[in-house]
Amino acid sequence: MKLFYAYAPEDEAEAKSVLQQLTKLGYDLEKVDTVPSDPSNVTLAFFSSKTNLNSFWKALPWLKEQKQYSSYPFLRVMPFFLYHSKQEDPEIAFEGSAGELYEAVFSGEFKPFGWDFDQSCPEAEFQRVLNNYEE
Amino acid sequence: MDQVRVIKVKQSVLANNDARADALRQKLKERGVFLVNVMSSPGSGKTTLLVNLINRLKNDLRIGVIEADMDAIVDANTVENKTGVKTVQLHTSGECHLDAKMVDEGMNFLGDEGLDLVFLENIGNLVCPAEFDTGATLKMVLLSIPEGDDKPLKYPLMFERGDWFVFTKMDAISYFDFNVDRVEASILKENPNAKFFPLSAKTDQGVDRLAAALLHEVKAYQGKAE
Repeated sequence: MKLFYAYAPEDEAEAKSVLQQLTKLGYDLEKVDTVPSDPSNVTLAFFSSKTNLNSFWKALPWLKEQKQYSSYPFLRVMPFFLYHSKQEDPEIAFEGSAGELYEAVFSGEFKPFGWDFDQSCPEAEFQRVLNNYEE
Repeated sequence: MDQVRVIKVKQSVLANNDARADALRQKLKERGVFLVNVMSSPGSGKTTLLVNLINRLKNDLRIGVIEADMDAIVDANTVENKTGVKTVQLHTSGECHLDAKMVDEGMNFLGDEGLDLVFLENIGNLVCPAEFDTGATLKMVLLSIPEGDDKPLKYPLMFERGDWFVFTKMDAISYFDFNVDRVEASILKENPNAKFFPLSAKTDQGVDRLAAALLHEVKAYQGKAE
């Protein structure tokens, strides 16, 4: 299954770690620089508590355009939150910068999927949430 | 009797409900707490049945109750006043269902130490509660006779995902066109492990059987089955 992805530079190391695991699961992954070549595929938009909103917009300029002009009506973007549950509670993180970024960038139609690096197999939950995008 | 404690709960910010539900189920298993998610339409008799069941089981099991509602407290007061068991009220701020995070918070406020059985009375609704795993050990779905026997066809997810199906208000069956055999066959088609309990909490018909089955299930879960 093909998936697109994008991330800001500050999330590169953790995003790549996730991408490695998804590759092992058989996903065909392609980085998006300008705009997804096929907007019917799901795009994973990685972010974390340390993501800066300006650098996020630079990494995903097409998403800003989509938000402003809805030029890609079938675009499906999964907000993909990277965190370590032993270090950070996502409920608290979303009261701060992560929540501000989420509200500024995403429509709120879909809740973010959280990839917990401290969980033994976050990929199982990922596949379940991804199914919701496929339905 | 003290006023029932009211807790306002919010949905999780993340979409990861199932992982959280699994973690809660594991935590409850380690503590020997059997959580029953009771779901139905509004007015199907959830509160009346719980009062009846709890009064039959409370000498054998240590029981707690989590009541969920968008705003009211009437069911929690009824259960606590009529049974004497510890009850907390969750207010969901308009949400039509509970997720695992909300239930986890409710369990923390209830204080599950020393409890054998907790009833979670979900929001009265046959759609949304079916979609969210609460971490419960058993999903009990109530269908009252006056609602009609076509509900499994109209709300298939609820009837596919439930474990036990309780047909309530059986004392009224002669007034309604409700075919128990037809409903059971319809549910079994998609959910072959379903179990059925026709009863009337008003006349007590069939309640003993449900109470005995629940007691057996809790003891087996705790490794104490006789």
